[in-house]
Amino acid sequence: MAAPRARAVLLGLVLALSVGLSPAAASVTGLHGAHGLAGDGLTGDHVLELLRETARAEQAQATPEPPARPAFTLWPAPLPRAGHLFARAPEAPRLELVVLVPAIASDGAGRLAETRIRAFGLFESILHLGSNRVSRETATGYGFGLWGNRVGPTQKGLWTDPVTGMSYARARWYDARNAHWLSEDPLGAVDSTNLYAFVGWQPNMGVDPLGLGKPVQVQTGFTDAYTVASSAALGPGYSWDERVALGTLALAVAPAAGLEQILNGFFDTPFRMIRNSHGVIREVDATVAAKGGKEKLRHGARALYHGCSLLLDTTIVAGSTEAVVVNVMERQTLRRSTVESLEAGSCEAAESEQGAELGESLNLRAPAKRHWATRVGQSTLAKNMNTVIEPGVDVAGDVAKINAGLAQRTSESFVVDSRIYAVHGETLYPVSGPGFHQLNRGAFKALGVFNTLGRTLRATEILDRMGISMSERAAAAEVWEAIQ
Amino acid sequence: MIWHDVLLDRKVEDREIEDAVASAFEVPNDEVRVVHLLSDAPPRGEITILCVCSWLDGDFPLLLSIYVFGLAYESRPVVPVVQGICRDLDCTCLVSDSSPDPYQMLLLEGQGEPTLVELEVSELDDDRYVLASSGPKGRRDT
Repeated sequence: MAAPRARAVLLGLVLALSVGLSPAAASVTGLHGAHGLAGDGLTGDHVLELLRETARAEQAQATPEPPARPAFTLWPAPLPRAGHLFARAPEAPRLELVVLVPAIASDGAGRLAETRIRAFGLFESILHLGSNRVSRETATGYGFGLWGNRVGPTQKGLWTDPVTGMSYARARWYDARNAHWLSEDPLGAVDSTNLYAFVGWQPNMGVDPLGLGKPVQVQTGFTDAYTVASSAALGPGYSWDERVALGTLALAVAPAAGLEQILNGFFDTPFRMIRNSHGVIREVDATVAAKGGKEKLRHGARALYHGCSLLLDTTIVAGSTEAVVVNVMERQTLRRSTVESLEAGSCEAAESEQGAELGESLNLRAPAKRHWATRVGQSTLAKNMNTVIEPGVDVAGDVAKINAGLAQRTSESFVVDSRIYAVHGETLYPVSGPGFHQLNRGAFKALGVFNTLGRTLRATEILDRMGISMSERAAAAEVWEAIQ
Repeated sequence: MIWHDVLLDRKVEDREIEDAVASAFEVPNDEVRVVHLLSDAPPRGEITILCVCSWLDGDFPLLLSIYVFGLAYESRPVVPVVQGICRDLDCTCLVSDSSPDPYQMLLLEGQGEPTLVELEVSELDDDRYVLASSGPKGRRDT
């Protein structure tokens, strides 16, 4: 009698371990089975089947773990006005996004004029900003030979040493001239028995951004970066970090129609309405609203809070130069816990977390009262350019957010709710944004007249005597109307 | 058009201002008019330079808003002209520097290089222009 019972216990233990039950549970289950075996005449197969059923039921009830989503960090900080930005996620050490920012300040307005996104070295996309679209011609127009031979700026998107001509693909180096890798495939014979073969000797069918011999399949050759990246991001067989990179890249080159599809498919999660009055989403909305493509970019913005900050970056790249800067900086301050809180639907919690976690607590002062548009008068000194504030702007709230570390920061300014503040010592001053008006010297003086006399004939007469131009009067009048 | 706002470190009689400004811009004295209210400004064509004076508190109690009429005057560089005013009036002046920072300005004297200075922010709330206690930053910015 002891042998069948011991066998049942052993079977239960082995099976339970195989399906993830604890040894203790397995032991108890085995004992129950032994009782049944003794009393009901069940065989060991019956017990085995019962255990299987139990395991299946538990597996069916178990909530699958969501995939780990990388929390990206961006460096260096503060963001440079030009140069390379690097994003890396600890969970995805092989993923590194490099954003070349050649000209944040070059247009004189602090706007990004062009950025270059490179993920995995798979593709290199130059995104021309300001036109509300990605230049696909540029993104896909590199003249790669099928074997990665240099006929364009890069070799199949891989960075190429200008001296040796060898291309770097993370896991190993590639010799485009001889069409083979310089070392064996680290994954073995995945795509070819020849461990030095490039994409299984079928370069028209794929690319290999990692040098792992696990090529990204392409349908009709290397002609459409969007198609390649998006299909790879949505397709099976790639790890999360690889999908993130590919999805990011897909967004970077995505045509407008494909963006939402990619986002939905990539995250496999419906987008939710998140009203975070302190967050970047509102800023994106405000910016995009004036430039079109609002819905598309709104979804992209929310994608950030579903786990991948990089996607927001590239999404916004496609739409608004101003938002790019804002959101690149936002990404810098994002933390994984914040993402999780937002995913849980608790905006307030996320905000408080941000305040506590984003770090640098400041004690900056609000701008001097001279900046309020209603205070401008004859005795207010005018600089070459003067920023005045509409009365309704919550400057105190902005300052509180800045001091709480909720604003995006560059080396010289803070951005909060799309308003940009510069800092002098420990005092902020307004620069631009909603509710702010930049007036040149003449317009500033004209505003002083309007504040005193209103838009009256007497005001017009005085402005004539001051020699204030019509354009300056119009600028001042716009502000004056706004503050009435 | 407005040429520049100039802050003087002492109050000066209207006649002295007229003389100094006329000299600095190299125009006859009767081409310059000093008023204390914009509403007192004469019609265009009567003068070449209009100076609107405002009395303030603080280290620089006189704000001189200088309006010029004529291309030849609009383009006059600020530093030598204001330095001429400083010499004639034996005073020190503050003028706007080229930055958008409202809390820093250029300090000019009759001679020497302009000095970038910082202002006490809290005093600006009441339109008082007071040099920050930290003193001039010592950087030239023309």
